[in-house]
Formats: sequence, C-alpha cells, structure tokens
Amino acid sequence: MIVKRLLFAFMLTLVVCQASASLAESLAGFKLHNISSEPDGSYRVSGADPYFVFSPIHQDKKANYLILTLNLPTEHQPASHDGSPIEIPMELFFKPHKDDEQQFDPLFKLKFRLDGQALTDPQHSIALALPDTYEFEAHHSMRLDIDSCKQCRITIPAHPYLVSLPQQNSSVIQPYRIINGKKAIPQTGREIMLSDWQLRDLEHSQGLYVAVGQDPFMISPTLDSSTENLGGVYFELSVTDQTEKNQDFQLFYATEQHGFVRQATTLIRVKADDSGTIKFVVPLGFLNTSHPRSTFLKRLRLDYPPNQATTKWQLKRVALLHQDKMAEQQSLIPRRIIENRWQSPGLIGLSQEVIKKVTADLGFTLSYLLLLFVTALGFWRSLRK
Amino acid sequence: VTTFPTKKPLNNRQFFALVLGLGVLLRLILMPFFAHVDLFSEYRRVFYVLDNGLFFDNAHRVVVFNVELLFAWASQLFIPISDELFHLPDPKQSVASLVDYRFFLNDPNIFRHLFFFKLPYLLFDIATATVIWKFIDKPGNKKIALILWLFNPVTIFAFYIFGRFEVISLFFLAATALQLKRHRLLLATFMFALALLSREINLLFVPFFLIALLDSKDHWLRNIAVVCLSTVIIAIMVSLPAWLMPKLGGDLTLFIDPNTVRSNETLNKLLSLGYYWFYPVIIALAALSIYAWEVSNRTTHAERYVTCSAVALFIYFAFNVHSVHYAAWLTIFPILSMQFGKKMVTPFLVFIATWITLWLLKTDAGVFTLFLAAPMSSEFIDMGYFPNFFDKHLATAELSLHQAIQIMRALFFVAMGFFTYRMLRKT
Repeated sequence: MIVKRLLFAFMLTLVVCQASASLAESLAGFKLHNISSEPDGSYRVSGADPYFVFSPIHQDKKANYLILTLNLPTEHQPASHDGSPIEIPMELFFKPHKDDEQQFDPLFKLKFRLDGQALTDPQHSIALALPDTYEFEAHHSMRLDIDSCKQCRITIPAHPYLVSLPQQNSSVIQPYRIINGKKAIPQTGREIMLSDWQLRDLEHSQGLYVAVGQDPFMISPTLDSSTENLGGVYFELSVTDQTEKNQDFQLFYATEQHGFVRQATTLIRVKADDSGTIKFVVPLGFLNTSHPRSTFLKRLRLDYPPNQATTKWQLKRVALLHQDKMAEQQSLIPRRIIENRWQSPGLIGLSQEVIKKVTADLGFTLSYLLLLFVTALGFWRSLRK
Repeated sequence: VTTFPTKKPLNNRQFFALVLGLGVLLRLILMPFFAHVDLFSEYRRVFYVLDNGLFFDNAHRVVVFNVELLFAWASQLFIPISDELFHLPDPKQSVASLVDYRFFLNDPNIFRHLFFFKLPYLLFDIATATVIWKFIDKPGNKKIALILWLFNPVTIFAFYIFGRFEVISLFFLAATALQLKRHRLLLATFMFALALLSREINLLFVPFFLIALLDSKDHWLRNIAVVCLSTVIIAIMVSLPAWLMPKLGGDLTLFIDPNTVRSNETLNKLLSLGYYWFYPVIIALAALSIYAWEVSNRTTHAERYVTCSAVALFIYFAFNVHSVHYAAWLTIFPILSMQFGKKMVTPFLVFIATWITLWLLKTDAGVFTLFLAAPMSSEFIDMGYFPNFFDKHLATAELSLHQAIQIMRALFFVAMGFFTYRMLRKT
C-alpha cells in the first residue's frame, strides 16, 4: 500500500512538472468571470459569481483526474471565527461526451471542498477525481467556480492538467457530490429507495416513524432525475391512528434552480382510508414547462403533520411517475392542494393560468356566460319598452 | 333633404333599467373572482351551523347570518360540497388560517362558491338601489343618486371584491328612511330594528331615529306614545333572538372563544372613554340630538333621520377610519340626502379619492391589494402591495410612508368636514 501511494505521489509530481513547463502557452487561454487579473499574475475575485473557464492540458481522452495547482495565501482566504483558514467550496463544470453546447450544463458538475490550510502551500497540487464515464474531447473546456470566497486572491502556478492515474483513494480530492447527467423517468416510473432517507424530528424504529419535534420531515436520497418526462411523485404511507383526521403533508422539491425553499413546495390535505393507508400523487410536471425551466429534480423532502407524537407512520412506497401515467393517477391527486411555485409565471403565463382556472369548471363557465347574456338581454328589453 | 330622426331622451323608467342593468352586469362580472379570507371565515361558520343543524346557536347579526344561511343552503343544489373544505375543527376558533383559505382557493368550485356567497349581497344591493330611486322625487337628483350608488368604488369594493355583508344593513337603513318619508312609522320601526339586528354600528343612529318620529303638528302626548311604542318594539325585536334561542335549546357561545376577554375589555374601555375618538362621537351624538330636536318643526321625519345619521357617521369616520370596507357605511345617507336638495356629488368624489389614496398607503398585505384576486390565481397573493412600492421608490427623507398616511388621514378628515358642511348647509 505504501509503495502504491509513493508511486502515485511520484506520478502526480511528474504531471505537475509537465504542466508547469507548459504554463506560458496555456494560462493565456483562461476566461474570467467576476474575476480580475492582477499585475502580479494573481487573480482577484471581483463579483458575486466568480469562475474560470479553461481548456485543460490533456494526453488521454479517458482521464480520471484533473490536476489543479492553486495557491491562496492565508490573508486572502475567507477566515473562520478564530481567524484560521477554512474549507473553500468549489464546483467544476465539465462537458459530457459529445456535448458541443456552449453553455455549461448544471447537470454535469462536481462539487468539492478544498482545505484552506493546504492551499497556502505554493507548490500544493490537487488531484480531483472525475466521474468514471468521463471522456475528454479536444474542443471541450471546463469551468471552475469558486464559491463563498468574496475577497479571495488566487495564484495558479500551473495549468490544469488531465491525467490517467491508477485508482487511488487517498491524496486526492473526492467530490462530495457528482452530478453526471440526469436520469430519465421510464414509462413505468422510477422507484425511490426507502432506506436512505435522512430524518429530522422523526424517530425510526421497526419500520415506523414517530414525530418527536415541531418540524418533522424526511429527505430523500439524491435523485438527479430529469424533469423532461416527469409527471409527479407518488406516495404511499400508512398511519396507525387518527384515521378520521385530515392530515397536512408538505412536499419540498430541490432542483438545479433552488434547494428546499418555501416557494417550491406543495401542501396537501388528505385523509387515511379505513385501513389507515394514505396514497397521493403530487404533480410536478410544471417544472419542465414553466419559466425558468427546472431541468432536473435533485431531491425531495416530505414534511409530516407536526405535534402528533402518538401517531406512527410507515412510508411504504415513493415513486417518480412518467407524465404519460398522470391521467390514470388523476384520482390520487388530492382535491385539497396548495402549490407554491418558485417560478414566476409572468404576465402572459398568469393570464393563461387565470383563463385555464376559470374555464376548468365548464358547467360554471357556461352558466355564468348565459347569466350575463340573459341579464343584459333582460335589461335591454326593459330599456326598449 | 335628408332629415335624421332626433334621439328621444330616456324617460325615468328607461334610465333606471339602463343604469341598473349596467350596475348589475358590473357586479356579476366581479362576484366570482375576488374575495378576502373573511368571506371564507364567515361562510365556514354558516356551513358549520347548516351541517350540524345548530340554527339556534348564533344570535349575533342574526339577520345577516340567516340570510347567508339561506343562500348557503340553496347553493348546495348547485355545488357538490365536500366536508373537509368548510370543515371547522373548533367553532370557537372560527377565523380561517391562510392555509385553510388557500385550500379553498384551489377548490375546483371556488367560483361557484363565491358567486353564491355574494348573491344575497347583490339582491340587497339591487333592493337598495330601488329604495333610493323611490326615495328621491326630483328626476335629476334621483338619477345622480342612482349612479352614485351603483358605480361608486367604495361599495363595489366592499361588497364584491372584499366580499362583506354591509349592504344588508344599509338596505334596512335606506328602507327605514323610505318608510319615514311615507309616514309609515310602525314599518319604519320594524325596518330600523332589522338594521340593528344586522350591524352593531347602527346603534349610533338610535337617538336620531327616535327623534325623527316626532311630528310637531301632533299633540305631545301622541308623540310620546309613538316614541315609547317604537322604543319598546325595537327593544323587543333586538333582544328577542338572544332571549328566545336558548329557550329553544340553542347555545349562544358556539362561536365565542372562552379564552378571549378582549371584547369585554374593549367595551369597558369604550364606555370609560378610553378611546380618543370616542369623545368627539359622544359630543356629536348629543349635539346632533339637540339639532334634530331643534329642527323638528321645520323638517320631515326622513330628513332629520338621514341628516343627523349622516353627520354622526362623518364625525365618527373623521376620527376613526376603521377598516377599508367600513367606509361603505358612509355612502347611503349622503345619497339619500339628495332628496332634500343637498349637493353631495363633489364631496362624494373627494371622499372616494381620499379613501382610495389613504388605503393604498395604509393597507396591509391582504386588504387593499391584489391578494383579493387570489381566487383567480394564488400568484396574486405574493405580488406585493403599494406601501412597499412607496417605501422603495417614492419615500424621501422628508416624506416617509407614515407621514404620507398621516397626511391622507388629515385629508380624509377634511373630506368628512366637506360632507358635513354640505349636509348641514341650508338648501
């Protein structure tokens, strides 16, 4: 193992030396956004959305590491409460295979954190692990976003470099989140595993959940599902008591546009059937059609009714439904539903929404128009007499 | 030579049909699409009574409540009502939360519900227009009065956009005036009692109504008898529901929260003159009663009642603008006073202008805002409101929002003064 690590360190040093040699020809190709170039060759963050766009030096299409050499002196790093350097969050956008789009797609990115202390070393290089399926194309570029680093001043002594190295679990940076494209929803829907949900104010024992706080909810594992064919989410739960009572659930959904925010939720009011089962479908098809469009669904969060310490819940099934299946699931869409949409519909969208809502009750619409007509006619005839 | 037929001017009946027709159409267009959460709260109580058969459990605003009850019952013939929509878990906490209201807003039958909720208001509105038309004799004045009633934004907002029941009370006040004009004192007494059973504020007009019953041509003993009989009838009618309903098994505490003592505290504070605005109102009531007595030999029953009631309201609103829809109370008496040659058009327009500006500035997020259009789309709920816009774009160091509101309150006071001047000026 030690030999393996030494070998890895040697190879890493070798490729960094290669990269440093070609520095003069490459750094000029950097594109900067909200970053200004300083006379001493460093880069200073100058806006709210700082990032570099660059084309890494490469030899092999099938690279599995990106070598980054970054230097941030302590005085130019964001400091923690005690003045010591902290971890700096970054994102690396990459192009998927054969994707020639100019824009970087939020569906293809790595999120990782760099240790501020390590970045103070001018010779420190980072090997960032890339997804297994990644293949580099000559005309592709990458984008490095530096988050939460408003006053940062960065030096890049060597050009980023793509390498193929043996599998190695240490001495490299593993992204804490890999978004490598979206998963389409099949016609049959997509089941969501029930085992990996994170809990808050909920206790889990023997397959049952009990609320133990004021804000009980559970967060799904990462979904990264496409919204292109998404119709909605199916939930099936059972409840041990209080079956007579209306239960309010709230579904939060995180997309590439937003995390779990109040403006992107659906609140529903449902009642369990005689067997204590609650089934409902929350429509989410609008994510793909409203403006601005959300192209993929990251995660879900289901908030349970609070203050019901005696009630035990069982989450039996959660599935993402294909939009073609929504018509047959119509009866499971709760009649009592409140949708808070993050997207603003705009004036035209709002007008369309109003017309759609008014005309949805056809019986009312026709009777109402008839009433207006008859009233107008009645007064007109009275006027003509 | 071609001669064109000259258009004949509309006669009174045709004018009434045309203006009322336009007014009704305007109201029908607004009815299903706007509401405040208070309208939903009101009908939740109504449906609770209807569903549980608790018809003797509410003696509060008994006329209004039973009219609404009747229309809610009739609406069930046209709307399939699911129990959870109007479900009231605890009748003592009957004010709807925003979440409950938003569930109602998303109900597929929302427009049907709102139409039927406001249908009694429309019928009482048309009835009030008819009373105004009959009350005023002079053709020119009655036409202006009808237009003022049917197209003023204050009542249209209060009844059809906010969705309040004030028109029922206003109808009985107007009907009282009509009966007084026709010297039908007993019928006027019944109408006035019904007005009192519709709205508590009408207590303000009791002294003027009783003094209006006096007739200087009659013997003083007859006058005393008339006033006493009228007082007894009013007292019996007003207290009858609260006395009778418990005898019939009703529980009048149905919608009363036992944990709140606020109303008692408010009443005690009011009676001990704890509110600054109550001093002028007390002084106004006394002064106007004296005025009504003094002019009783040269004014008609109706004129005394209308003039003094109108001025009492002007003074009340000069010092207390209350809530936005309560301004509807201000409309009926100035309109009726046109029968007596009072020039009310200009002060009415000033009143409307100051009312709109004041409430644009003074509103909270759900009162004089697009929130009221939420039945059409929940998007309207969070669209912001004018005070925010004022703070961001118009406020200066010299003119803050608070200062602008105070200025508008002062101008509203002036509008009430203008009304009072025109009302008391000799014609």
